[in-house]
Amino acid sequence: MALSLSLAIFFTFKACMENYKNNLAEGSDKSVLVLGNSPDFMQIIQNSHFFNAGETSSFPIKLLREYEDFGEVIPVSNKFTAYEKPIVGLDRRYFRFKGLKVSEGEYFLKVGECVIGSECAKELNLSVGDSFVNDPSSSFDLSKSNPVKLKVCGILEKNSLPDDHTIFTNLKTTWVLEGIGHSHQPEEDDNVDSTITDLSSGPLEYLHFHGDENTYPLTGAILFPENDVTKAQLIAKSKNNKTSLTVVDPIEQIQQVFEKLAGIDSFFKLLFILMSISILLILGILIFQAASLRTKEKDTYFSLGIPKSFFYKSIFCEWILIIGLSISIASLITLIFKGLVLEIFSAIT
Amino acid sequence: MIKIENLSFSYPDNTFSISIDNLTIGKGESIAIKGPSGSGKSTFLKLISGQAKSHKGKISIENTNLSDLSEESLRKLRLENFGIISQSPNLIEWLSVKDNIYLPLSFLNSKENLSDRYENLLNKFSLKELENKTAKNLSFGEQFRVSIIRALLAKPNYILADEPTASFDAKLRDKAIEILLEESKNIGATLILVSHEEEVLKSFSSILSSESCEVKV
Repeated sequence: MALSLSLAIFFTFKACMENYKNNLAEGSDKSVLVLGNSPDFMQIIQNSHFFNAGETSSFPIKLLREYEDFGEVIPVSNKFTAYEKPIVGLDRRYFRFKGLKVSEGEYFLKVGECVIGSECAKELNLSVGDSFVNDPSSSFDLSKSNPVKLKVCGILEKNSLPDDHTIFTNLKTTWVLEGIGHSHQPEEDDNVDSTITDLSSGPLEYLHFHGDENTYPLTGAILFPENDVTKAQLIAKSKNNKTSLTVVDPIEQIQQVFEKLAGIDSFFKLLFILMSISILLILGILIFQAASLRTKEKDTYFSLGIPKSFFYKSIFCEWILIIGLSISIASLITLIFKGLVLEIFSAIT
Repeated sequence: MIKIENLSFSYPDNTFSISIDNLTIGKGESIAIKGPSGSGKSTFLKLISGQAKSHKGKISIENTNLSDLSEESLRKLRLENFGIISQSPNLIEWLSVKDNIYLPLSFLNSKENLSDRYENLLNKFSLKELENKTAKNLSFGEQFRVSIIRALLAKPNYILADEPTASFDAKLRDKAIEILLEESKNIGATLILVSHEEEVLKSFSSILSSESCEVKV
């Protein structure tokens, strides 16, 4: 059992580390930078690279103008979810730059239309033409805008990237979700549910936006610099910037995380080595004691003329069985607990 | 036949030694060895069964000098020719009575069916009901009876018994000696028995004293 448990700890941690590294490395394009309004690099990467809609600070769209000289800038708004899947507002250039294609339908054109990732479509059982409503931000805050009914116009091909689990729409749709844009439905229409803003069907002549367009909020941006020089310039610019916007190279940050993980990995390797030494010492004592206890058995075989090899073979087989069982139990424990440890890992990191 | 010439043996720490000038034990003979504790009786049995070496002089089993044999050859000789009953039962704890009895046989290439002999010996020693019990669950006396049957089953040429009745009551002792003498006669085996019990020695016509190394008839 002692051997099984120590092996299980090592196997489980190793499996989790590999899984975590693979998850982090998914979709990492060397040429892409991300931008956000946060000093926390990982938060920016989570929001604009992995599209995890968490707590994030907004900034006005006009602040992106100064980055347009360095390459393509794709503004991103990632604040809302539908069935816990992120609804990311950006423009269609994103699909071209990432090489993402639709397997069904087409890219969004109008407000209210969405292109969804392949896993999203599968999990939510949505097809082209279906409609859905975003998750309410709060049931108790009446100042928040109504939920919005959106329509699926396309489904992306599977690409094993975070995009598979994302709902994409245009920026104007996300601003409607935020309440900056809305529609005034005719009062005499009894079929209209006034608690939901329906962008999925019909003409949108009543849809309009309030305020200065330059102040409309974004949560981040994806930057495609022209070359390595402009890439370096963008990063330097953000360090010298008087605004709070930060440009992050996701690859570099992920590599730093890997190095940190490697440090943790080394720590656990050392821990495993120390544990193994102590377990081997205990095992050694147990084997020695067991051998001493079996001296009488060995003497019996000798006095009867039974070959010594029979005695050693039986001991060898016993220990092979013990070690084999230990590894099997360790593998079983790893399989059972890997999922749980991964969850804890994700929560921590 | 066992022939001993000018045998001299001592342990490495020189705490003990035995010496025998000349001794011949014929095939099928039954001989008892008596003597006080520590006088070399058990060592003598180990020497003639090849369990102890490094002696001076000559021990021959069927004209084969034991000193000329390797460890492996001595082991084979012991397995194929000797049935040994030690001072303690020396059973394998986790094996059943039946498995313990058949243990040496499983290493011999004997094609003879000994199941009738096995049943017969088991019944003689009243162990039939305990056949499937593991050795560790037997009393000391029961274990001893099992070790006697184990020594007799394969019809060895030589039966060496070291205080086999030490833990028996009088009735069982007499029965055990009777069976040993009867079986050794039936199979033509040479029986060499060590004992300090006068009641046991009475059953033997040839008695060797370990003190004087003389055979008293």
